[in-house]
Amino acid sequence: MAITFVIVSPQDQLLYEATFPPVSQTDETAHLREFILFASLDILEQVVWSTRDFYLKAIDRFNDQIIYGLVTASSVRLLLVSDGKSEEAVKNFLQEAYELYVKLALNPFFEPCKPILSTSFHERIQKLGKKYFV
Amino acid sequence: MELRRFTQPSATKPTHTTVSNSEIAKWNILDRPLTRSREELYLSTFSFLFAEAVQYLQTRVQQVSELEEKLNQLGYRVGQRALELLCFREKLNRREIRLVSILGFIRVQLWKFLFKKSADYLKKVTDREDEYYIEEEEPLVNRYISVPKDFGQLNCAAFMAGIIRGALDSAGFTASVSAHYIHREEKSRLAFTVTIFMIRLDESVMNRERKLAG
Repeated sequence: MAITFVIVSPQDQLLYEATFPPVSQTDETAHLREFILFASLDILEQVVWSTRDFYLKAIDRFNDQIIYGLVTASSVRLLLVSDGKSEEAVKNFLQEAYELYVKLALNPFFEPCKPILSTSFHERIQKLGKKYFV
Repeated sequence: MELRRFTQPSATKPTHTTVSNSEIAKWNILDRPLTRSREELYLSTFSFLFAEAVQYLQTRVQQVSELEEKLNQLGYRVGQRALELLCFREKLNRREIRLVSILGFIRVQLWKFLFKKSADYLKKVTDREDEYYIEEEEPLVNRYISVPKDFGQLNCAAFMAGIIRGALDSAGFTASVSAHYIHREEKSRLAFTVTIFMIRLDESVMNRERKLAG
């Protein structure tokens, strides 16, 4: 089953979403993964204030789906849901996605808490997804 | 075409040789490394830019307090980005989740990153739980700013107050920060003026602090 990766602002707005492999019309589980990702936000809120790490490991699970989280220094949340991909790959993916996000955020024209529409960001996230999950 | 015109000319790269537009387009911000050698900006360059910013904002406000508010907003954007970059780059690999440690982080690491020195003092307001202040004798941004008499208590370090607010707020510590002049008298020297950055934290932050303290 596919993997969904989202970036959520501190105010719980969805900033970015990607699926690996890219979502197809026939994939009926896409909305389910979206749903369980958002359902984990409450738990995430508690985890965020209990550790000083960026990477929060597996924070929640739904049947065989595991939700991993990473929170940046400015409280932006990167979440990923997968079924049984190696945790090492997930961790590396999130770390690299975080680095890309920091670079993006340094752009003076970038507005935090606005949806991320940058095509080059999207391309690089897709590349990362291929690198770790295919 | 030079992209970073105002950096130290330490490594004299021939950047002014013709670079085609396609090459610049290839040089995407997402491809550039975050770790780089410390680059410095000339103080005069910054001062000119800052003075222009103040003058520009001045034409768009009615009152001194509005001007300070605008400067604060300008600094907020700097604070947000500085926090994100610094926490990622300095290999700390740690977020700050406690109030005292984030204030210390701002006083030392953030200040050093921006101004090459840590702030003079960080103090707690006596008998107020939610108020702290950072004291700075000579804020860098004010070095070449002289405030006309009819501008009252305008302190252009409101920009720096905005930086503090931006860093605190994005780390999850909602606060209001303002810059003020304070006259100090000490026996050993003449009366002098310092700037203090008054930090008043939001109630939600204090509630969370109490919970974390157990």
